[in-house]
Amino acid sequence: MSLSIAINNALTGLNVNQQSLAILSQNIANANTAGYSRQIINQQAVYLDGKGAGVSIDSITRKVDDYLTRAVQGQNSDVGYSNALSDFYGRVQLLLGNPGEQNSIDSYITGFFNSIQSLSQTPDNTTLQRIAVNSGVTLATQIQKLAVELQDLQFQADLEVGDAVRTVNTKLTRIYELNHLISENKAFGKSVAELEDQRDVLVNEVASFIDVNTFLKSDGSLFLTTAGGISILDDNRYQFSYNQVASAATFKNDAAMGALTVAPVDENGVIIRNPNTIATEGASSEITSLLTSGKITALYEMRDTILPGIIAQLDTMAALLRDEVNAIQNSGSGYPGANSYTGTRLVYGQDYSDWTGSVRIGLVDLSGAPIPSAYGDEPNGTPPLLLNLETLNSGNGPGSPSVQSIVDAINQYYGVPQNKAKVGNLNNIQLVSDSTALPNTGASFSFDFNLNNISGSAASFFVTGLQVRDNLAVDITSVTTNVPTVALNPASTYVTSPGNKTVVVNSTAAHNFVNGQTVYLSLPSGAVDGIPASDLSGFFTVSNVTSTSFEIQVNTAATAGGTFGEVGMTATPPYGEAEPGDYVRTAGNGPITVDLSGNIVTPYYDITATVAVIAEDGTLSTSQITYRVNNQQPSMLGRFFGAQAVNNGGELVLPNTIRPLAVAKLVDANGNKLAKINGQYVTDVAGYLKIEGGLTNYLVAIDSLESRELGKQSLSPVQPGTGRGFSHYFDLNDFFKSNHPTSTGDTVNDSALNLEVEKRLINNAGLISRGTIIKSPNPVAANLPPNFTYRLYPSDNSVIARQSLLSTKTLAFTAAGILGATTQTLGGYTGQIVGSTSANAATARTNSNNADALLQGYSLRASSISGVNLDVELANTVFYQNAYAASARVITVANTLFEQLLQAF
Amino acid sequence: MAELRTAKIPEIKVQDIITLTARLAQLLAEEVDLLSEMKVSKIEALQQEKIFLTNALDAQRKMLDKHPHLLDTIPSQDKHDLQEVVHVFNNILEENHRKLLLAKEINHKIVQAITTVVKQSSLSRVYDDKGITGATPYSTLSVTLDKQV
Repeated sequence: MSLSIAINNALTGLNVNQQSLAILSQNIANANTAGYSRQIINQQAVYLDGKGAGVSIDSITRKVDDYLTRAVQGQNSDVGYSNALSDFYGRVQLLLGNPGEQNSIDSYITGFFNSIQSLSQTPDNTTLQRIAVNSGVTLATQIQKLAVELQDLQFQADLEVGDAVRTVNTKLTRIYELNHLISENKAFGKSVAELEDQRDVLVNEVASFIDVNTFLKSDGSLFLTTAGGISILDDNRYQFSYNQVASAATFKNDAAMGALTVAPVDENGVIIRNPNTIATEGASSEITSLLTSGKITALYEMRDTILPGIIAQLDTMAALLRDEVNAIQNSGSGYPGANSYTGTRLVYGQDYSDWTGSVRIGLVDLSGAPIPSAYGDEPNGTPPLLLNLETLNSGNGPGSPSVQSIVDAINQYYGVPQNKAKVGNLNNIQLVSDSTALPNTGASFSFDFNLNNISGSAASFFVTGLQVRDNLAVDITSVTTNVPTVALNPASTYVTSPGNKTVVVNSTAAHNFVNGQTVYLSLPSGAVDGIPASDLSGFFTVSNVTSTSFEIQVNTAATAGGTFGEVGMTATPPYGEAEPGDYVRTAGNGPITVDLSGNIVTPYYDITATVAVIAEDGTLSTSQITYRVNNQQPSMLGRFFGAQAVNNGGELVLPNTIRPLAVAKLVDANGNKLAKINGQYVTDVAGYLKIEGGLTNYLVAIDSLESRELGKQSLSPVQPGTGRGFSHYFDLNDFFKSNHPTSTGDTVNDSALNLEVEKRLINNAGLISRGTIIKSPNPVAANLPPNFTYRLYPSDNSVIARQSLLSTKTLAFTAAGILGATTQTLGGYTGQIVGSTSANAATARTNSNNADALLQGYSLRASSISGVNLDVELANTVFYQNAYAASARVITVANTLFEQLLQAF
Repeated sequence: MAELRTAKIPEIKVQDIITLTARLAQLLAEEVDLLSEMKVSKIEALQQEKIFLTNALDAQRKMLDKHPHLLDTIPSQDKHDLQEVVHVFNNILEENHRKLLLAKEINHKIVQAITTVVKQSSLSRVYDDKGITGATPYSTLSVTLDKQV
C-alpha cells in the first residue's frame, strides 16, 4: 500500500476540500498573525455575572434553549441566504467558465486576437481574413450570449422571488391556523407539543426565506415579524404580495419592477389594512429592501446588485473592445475595399462639431489603383481628397463644420466635375462663397479660394487684382478688399543707396513677413531714384526683415540714394499656401469682399481675379481667372465655383465626363437619401452619412489620419467630444456595430448585449482593414506631370498589425460592479471578471457550507434531550481552545519544516 | 587512558518525517471526525499526541536550522513521498482548521447566550435573607471558568 493510499484511508467520512495549495498557504500565513493567537487567548477566560439567590439554573438553561431555538431560526435565514447566493454564483460561474479555460470569455478574446495576429502576418490570405472575421463573430456572439444568460439569471431570480413569496404565504397561513389550534387546545388543557413541533418546523421554513423574529404569547400563539420589526403574523393572517416581471426583457430595458409588500388579510384573503413595503418598486438600482437575510434577500441581492454588477463589467469590457477595434478598423481599408460606406451615427445636416486634422478620402479600383481622372491632365488617376476639417467653415468658424458642409465639401471634390483653373503647380483654383445669399443687404459678395495641389511641390498663392463685371460686361468694380496687405510708409517708402540694387522698404505697421518669404509690391506712380517703377513692383523675396522694414533686390541700381515717399503703396503676402496633396481653403486669411452696389439686379457677376502661384523652386506663374457667380441665389455659403475662363498664363481644363466620381449624402435607415431644400438638409430630419463611389467598381478608401472630433469647445461648459477620427465618428467602417452613439461616444450600457460584427464584414471578410491608401511613387515617370496619387496595396498590413497589438495594449477601464477603475489589457480585465466571480462563487460555497455546519451545530444542541448542558458547554470552550492552539502550532511547525525540505530538492 | 569519545554525527531521515507527518495527518483527520460528531470530550484526548508529534517535527526543524548542510544529504527518491504526504496533510489540516473554527463559533455563541441570560437574570429583583424583595442588589460575583473542568 502506497503512502498516499494509507493516509487517504484516514480520511474516511471526511469531506476534504480539494482546493489549491495557494489557499492553504493563506491559512498557514494566518497562523502567524496576531489575530490568530489573540483569538486563542481571548477564548481562555470567560467571565459570567452570576447570583445564586433567586436565580434558578434551570431557568438559565431554558432561556439558553430558547436562545438556541432562535439561533436555529436565524441560522435558517443565513442558510437560505447563503445557499441561494451559492446556487446562483454556481450558475454564473458555469456561464463564465474558469480563467484560461477553453470556452471561457477570456479564451475567446485570446482566440480573436490570435486570428488577427495571423492575418497581420499574411494580410492578403483570404482564409485568414475569414477566420479573423469569424473569430470576431464568435467573440461577439459569446459576449452577447453571456449577457443574455446573465439577464436571464436575473429573470430566474425574480421568478424565484415570486415562488418564495407564494411558499411563505402558504406557510404563514398554516402557522396562523396552528396558532389558533394551539391556543384552543391549551385553553382546554390538551397537549400541544405535537402542534408546536409542527409550527416550529414551519417557522424555520419561513425563516429560510425571510429573516424573522418570533414572540410567544401566553396563550401559546406565536407572532412573527421581520427582523426589521414589520408584522407578518399576529392575531391576523398576513400575506406577501409581489408581481413577477413578465420576461427577461424587463432587465434588458431596465424597466421598473413591482414592490414586495405584506398586509393583513381577512378570511377571504382581502387586505384589511394598508400594506407595509418590504422592498420598494423601481429599476434594479433604485430598489431598497428592509430584509437582511433569508433566500428572498439573496435573490434580491443577486437580481439587483450582483448580476447587474457582472453585466456592467461585461458592458465595460465590450464597450472598450468595440471602440478600440473600431478606431483601428476605421483608420484603414480592406483590399480592394467597398463601393460605399454608410455610417450608423444618426446626424442632422446642421449638426456641427469642432474638428482638428484632415481626412483623406480616396477612390480606387479593384486593383487598389486610383480610378481614372475626369481630367486629361491627370494621367495617374484621380488624386484623393485631403479634406482639411480645421479650415472647413459652415458659419460656426473654421474647424467647426456642419455635417452639411462636410457632405458638400466631399461632393464639391467628387461631384459633377467642373472646369478647372490650373495655374502653375496648383491643379485647380476654385472660388468659394463666404456670403450666404445674393443679393444681400450689404450689396456685396465675400469669397475666398480653394486650392488643390496635386504636385510634389508646395505652392504660394497670391491675389493681386480683382475686377467685377455685370451681365453687360460693365465694370462695376469697387473693391473693398480684405486680402491681407501691409501698408507701406508714405513718407519714407523706399530708402536707396547710390549705385546699389538693394532697396529698403518701410511699412507703417508691424507685419509678419519673414526672411526668404515672397511678397507682392504694388506699382509706384513713377521711377524712384533712377529705378523704374516696374522694377519696384511685382514679386520679391524679402530679406533683413524688421518689424517695420524689409529689403528687396531690384534690377536697376539707384543713382543718388536717399529716402523717397509714395502714397498708397502696399506689400501683399501670399493669400494661401498649399502643401503637396492639399485641398485647402484660403479662408483662414479672411474673405475678399467685392462691392456689387453698381448693379444689384444683374443675373450674374463675372469676377476676374489676377492671381499668381509661386512653386517651391521659385517658379512664378500668373494668370487671370474669371468665375461666374449667379445672382438671386440662396444658400450660397460654402458653394464652390469652377472657372469660366482662364487667361494670360493659366490653363482652363475641361472635364471629359459629367458623371460624379463619388457622392456623399445623408440617408435614412432604409438607405433613401434625405430631402433637401435649396441644397440644404431640412432641420428636423436626421440620417446617416453615406459615401458611395460613382460606379460600382469605384471603391471608397478612407484614411482618418489625425482627424479628431472634439465636441464643442466654445460652449460653456465645454461639450466634450468623442476624440474619434472622421470615419469612426460617423461609424462608417466599424468592425463591431456601434451601440447608440452619443455626443461623447457610444453608450456603455448594454454594450455586451448589443455586441455584433457588422454584416458587411460577415458578408465580405476582405473588408477587414489591413492597410490604408498610401502615396504612390510620384511622378511615375520623369516625362509625366506630377500627380499626387494614393493607392491600396494588397500586402499592406499597417492597420491590421496595429489591430493585433491591441491585445497587449493597456486600457483604462472605469469602475463597474465590484471591480474598481483599473488599467488593464482586454484579456486581463476579462480574466478579472471571471476571476473575481470565481472567487466570489468559492466564497459563497464556503459560506454556504459554514452556514450549513453552524445550523447543524445549533440544531444538534437544540434538539438534544436535555437541552444545553451549561457545564459541558463551558468545558467545551477549553477543549476547543486547546485543540485550536495545538493545530495552530502544527501549522507553524509544518509550514517552516516543509518549506525547508521541499526547497532542498 | 581515557576513552576516546566521538561526537554524534547529526543526520536527517526524511522517511521519519514522513511517518510523523502521516500520523499527525491521521490524528487531525480523527479530530475532524470527532468534531463532526460533536464528541468533544474525545478531542481532548488527542491533544497530547498531537503536541508530541508536533514537538518531534519541531525537533527536526531545529536540527535543520542548526545544520542546514543536512539538506544536501537528502536522497532525491524521498522527494515524491514527501510531496505526496505534504499535499494530503495540507488538505486535512485545512479541513481541521475549518471544523475547529466552526465548533468554536457555535460554542462561543452559546456561551455568549449563557452570559447574556445570566446578566439579564442578575438585573431581576431578588429577595434577601429576610424575604424582602427589591433590597440593595448583591454585588456582582465574577465567575471564572476553571480550565481544569
